[in-house]
Amino acid sequence: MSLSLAAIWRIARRDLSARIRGLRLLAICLFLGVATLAAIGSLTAGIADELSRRGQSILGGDVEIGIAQREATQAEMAAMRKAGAVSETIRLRAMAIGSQIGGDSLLAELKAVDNVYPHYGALTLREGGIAKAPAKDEIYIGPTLSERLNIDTGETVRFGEATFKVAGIIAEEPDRLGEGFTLGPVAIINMLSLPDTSLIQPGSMYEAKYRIKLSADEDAAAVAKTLEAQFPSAGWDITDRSNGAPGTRRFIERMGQFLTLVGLAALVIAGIGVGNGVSSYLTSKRASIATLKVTGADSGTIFRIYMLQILAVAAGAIIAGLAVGSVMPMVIGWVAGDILPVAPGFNLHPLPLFVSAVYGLLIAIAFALPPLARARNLPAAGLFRAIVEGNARIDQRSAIWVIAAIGAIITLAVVTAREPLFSLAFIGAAFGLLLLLTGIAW
Amino acid sequence: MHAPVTHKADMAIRAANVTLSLGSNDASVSILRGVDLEVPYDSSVALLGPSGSGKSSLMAVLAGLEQASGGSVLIDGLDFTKLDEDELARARRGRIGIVLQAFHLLPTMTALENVAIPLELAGLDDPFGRAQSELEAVGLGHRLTHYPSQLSGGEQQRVAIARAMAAGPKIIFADEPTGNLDGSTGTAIVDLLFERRAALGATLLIITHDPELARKCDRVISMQDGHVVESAA
Repeated sequence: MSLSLAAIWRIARRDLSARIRGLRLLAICLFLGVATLAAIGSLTAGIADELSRRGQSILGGDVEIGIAQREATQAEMAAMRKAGAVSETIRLRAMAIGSQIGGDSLLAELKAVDNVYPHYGALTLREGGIAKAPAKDEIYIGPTLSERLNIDTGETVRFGEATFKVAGIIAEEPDRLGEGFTLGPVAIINMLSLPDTSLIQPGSMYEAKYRIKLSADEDAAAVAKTLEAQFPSAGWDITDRSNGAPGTRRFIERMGQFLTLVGLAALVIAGIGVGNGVSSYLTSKRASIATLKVTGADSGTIFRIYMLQILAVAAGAIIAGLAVGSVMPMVIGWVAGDILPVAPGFNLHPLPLFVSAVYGLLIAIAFALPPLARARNLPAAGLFRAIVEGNARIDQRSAIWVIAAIGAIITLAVVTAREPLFSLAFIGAAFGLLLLLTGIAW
Repeated sequence: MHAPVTHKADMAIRAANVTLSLGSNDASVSILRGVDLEVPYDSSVALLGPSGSGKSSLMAVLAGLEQASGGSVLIDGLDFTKLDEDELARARRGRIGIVLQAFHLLPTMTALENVAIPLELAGLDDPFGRAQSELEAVGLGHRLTHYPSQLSGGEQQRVAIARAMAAGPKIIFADEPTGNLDGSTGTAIVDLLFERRAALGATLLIITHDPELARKCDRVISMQDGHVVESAA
């Protein structure tokens, strides 16, 4: 006759000391591993979500068309204007020269904007207030440029053949992330001032960007597709609000995957701690196991009693790890500040939390099963004999479960990976190392 | 798992030519060397003998804690030599109660919870009610929620006796139940053991070094070097 799960749990709960002293190592290893994975997953998802949510302001429009080394033709402009309101910016690298005699110079990203800029978000100045494009012959400069050239509001800076009066220090450039990689601090001038610099010459390296603002119910991706189809050989670099900063998103997702694998490797190593913790716990329980067998518990009952205890402690550790991991993005955002491309908001991200919990559970099962399988075979005669011959081998069913749990860990890591082959190689190397170390210790 | 082989039970314990060897082939040690034993229902038997004579090993084989290397062992009509470790564990439920010298209570459970364990494992109704009745019967009604570490040696052995008796077993095995107790406490424990056995109408096989205790039993069996050397009423 097999006991009900409720009856088994009643015995397991009573046998498990409230202090769970013997299973603390299991709890700590799982807590740290799951918290790490949950924090990495939540942070990556939080930043990716924020990039998607702020897609319009990051991009500066609903659809963006980038054209290298030329401005849009009249036909192209007409097509864009037909789709929606258009804002034009031109960006190029140029030397900024300070106003003092023999003043310093610095390579900067000069951006000329029209009077519509920005469609979304707000250009804010350190002096306070939201700004539109500067007046002709005026300029907003980034704080780095201000510091390096030692110029402040009211002073002048020269780009090419034009001298500009600094009208403000930029606090936030709304489309900064959408601009991608930059070589120097930004400076913003009015589009009308650009010809005065004489920096746009045949062969000059510059990029013109056209941000189109659509009505709220329009499908940005469809509009982008239609425009691209109209000018198939125009050499446009076209993107829409759903992917405002593709480079940043790629970087964050790759970094997230890499950190997840590092976290997973740490969790696998923590699994060794789980195995040792469970092994030492069950060794301390030998007398109790033998006593339970004397009073009528078969090996299946013993297995279920201690499996339930391990799962209960593991569940507690996993829940605590998820709780800590889910608030970590907020803490990281607060500590890291401007180092992050965008500050992740405090949102629960169920998928990474679920994946972290499953990893924790699978690691607990894979590493707790071998000592548990040995403990179930402890004979009742253990109470009579000081030394009981240990059975180093585990039974076939337990071995299958261990292999299945390891297989599930690998599958989960590969399925949830952005680059499955890379994940497979990483996990292969981690397990290879584990086998090597086990072999050396044999 | 095969079905337990049952025989018509005219004896609580019937063992014939039982042998037990421990260790691997090269370093095998013979513990029991052909033991024959018959114990009727509702009787008490004392097992005497010097240390190392095989008393505890014989009890372990008869209680299904150890599998005999040879011979036949019928316990309450059940052929224990045909059962594996798990089947033996299940066969003990409600059939066999065991009292050991070192009490072996579960340290994380109260007296009541310890006594309820065999009842829960046997799937009996109201395990805690029955456990409470049994603890009251051994005079520990006021110690239900005490943990083993909060009980004296005598009280712990009373809990162990209650645990062995709670499921109403047909056979009780006791391995030097007074070995860890002082004289007066030991006497009280022995009296309690016999009193509870009589109340249940169970068969008792008790291992002891104490001739005084042995005289309380219906029969005394002496062992030496793995053999039964004397059996007297």
